[in-house]
Amino acid sequence: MEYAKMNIAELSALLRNREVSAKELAADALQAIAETDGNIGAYLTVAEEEAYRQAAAADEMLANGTAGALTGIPFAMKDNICTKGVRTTCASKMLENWYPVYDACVTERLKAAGAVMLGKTNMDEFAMGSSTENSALQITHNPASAAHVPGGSSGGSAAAVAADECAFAIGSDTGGSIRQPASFCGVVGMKPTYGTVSRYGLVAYASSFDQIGPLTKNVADNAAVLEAISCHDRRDSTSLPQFDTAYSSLIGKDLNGMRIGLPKEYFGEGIHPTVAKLVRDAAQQLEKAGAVLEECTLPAVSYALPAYYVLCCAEASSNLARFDGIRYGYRAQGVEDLDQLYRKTRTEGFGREVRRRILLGNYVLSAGYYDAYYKKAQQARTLLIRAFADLFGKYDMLLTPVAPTPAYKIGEKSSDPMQMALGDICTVPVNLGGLPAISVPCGTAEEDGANLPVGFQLIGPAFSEAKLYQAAYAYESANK
Amino acid sequence: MQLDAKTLDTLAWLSRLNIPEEETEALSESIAEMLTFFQQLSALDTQDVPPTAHIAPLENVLREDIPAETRLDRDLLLSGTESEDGFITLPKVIG
Repeated sequence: MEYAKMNIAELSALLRNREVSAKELAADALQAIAETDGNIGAYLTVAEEEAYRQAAAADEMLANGTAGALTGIPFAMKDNICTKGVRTTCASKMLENWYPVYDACVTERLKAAGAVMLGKTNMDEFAMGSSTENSALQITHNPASAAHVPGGSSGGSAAAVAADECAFAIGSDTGGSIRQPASFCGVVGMKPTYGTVSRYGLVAYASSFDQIGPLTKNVADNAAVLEAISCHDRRDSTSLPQFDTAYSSLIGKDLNGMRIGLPKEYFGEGIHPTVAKLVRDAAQQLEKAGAVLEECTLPAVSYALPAYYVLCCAEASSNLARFDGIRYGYRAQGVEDLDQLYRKTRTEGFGREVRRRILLGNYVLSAGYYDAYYKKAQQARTLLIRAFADLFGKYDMLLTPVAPTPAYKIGEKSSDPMQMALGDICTVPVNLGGLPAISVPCGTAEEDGANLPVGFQLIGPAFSEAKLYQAAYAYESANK
Repeated sequence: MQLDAKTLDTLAWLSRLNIPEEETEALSESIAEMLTFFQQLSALDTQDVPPTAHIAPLENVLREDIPAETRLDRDLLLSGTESEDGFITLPKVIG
């Protein structure tokens, strides 16, 4: 496990200098998983054969001069992203034995870049949740403290990176599912601008919010992975046709004159005092690095959470209608008619939280309630988008906490979905606006005898990833 | 607050789900709680505000009408779907 702690840039240098082969790195990473993951539970599937096959291809690329930044680098993939021939479960009984017949666009891109997939990571079932406790298949523990959740829904991906069980991981973010587990586990997580990473092959939860992004050990690695996976893809009808993908281009540049707003609503009631303090400390560091910090106000966040939950449940109820026992995955036995085949399959195949969100979604979309809930939430979304646009007229980016608290204990909130939902308050506004936002580790909070990681969030206007990385890198360098 | 039994039945039907008896109470309470939470939105003045369905400037994506690779092949039959003699097998779904 000599290489497990290393980041992408370090591993890449070793590979290019022939000090290690991709095959040796894969073996080292698989050994790290074998030794560590019994206590973490980050992986649902370890794809050893696939990893060695991809490592052999990577070694060939290294030998013939076609290697890039990710060639030979071992990574983990969230289990809602299709991997041809490798089980893709969405952590659901519904897809427990489902083997995709095609690769997601992101999988194709990473394979083409020569990255080596080690396996598939645990998550909240169909990405619905914030602690990975809604997985129907296993529990994942926070690498900083086994009694605490890793966050979610990309909890397995964040834990795998934090526990040095891979060099980077891919997650998906619908309402904070990359950023919040990144914060809880102490890694860097980016939710890119909506439409810049193809959703082709991502099992849909709430399509107008879902976005794939990287989780890494540091900021520069994160930009490198995003550069590899971001592209236009005609197979995703919401993939944007043209945009700049030079995400690393501003890394290392100073922050002189950069304007950063601190919306006071993100620092008010319900925010853990240590979290607020650590984020404010980060603000001071950014100021020292040359940025101009200013308090601002974004009252529109007060209705972001109800609007988000109305819309994501509505979209989920529609997206998950395809799981009917006919075409995909689980099929209930011992039924007499079609209606019961559907109902029994879906009742047995989906976990409680998934069924709850489907029911809620159908409620807000049903006749008589549509205008009061669904349309109203869509209008609230418009107002929030306008409010962000106003702020981005004055500021290059906004600095906020990622989550109101550090990681909580396993079981602490799992029976109270409302409490769990309130924890998403800092992250969902970003998804409603389709904006990019990054979660960067900024210290630890001592809770229940454990030192739990805390992150800050930088939110920018669409296509501002390069600037977000610039600021995040400046902070990271000042705090090494 | 709880959701009344009839509404829950209708929702279950719309969702093609059964509600296990032991979950009925907790579920109807939890849904009612979320609906109350959603009602915060009613205080918002949205007169003349257009709804946003999507962030992306959406256009229909059409492809040229030329033959392309299909995946309805052996791979699909082997993907966990029940099959027999090269055909996908299903329970009887039409009355």
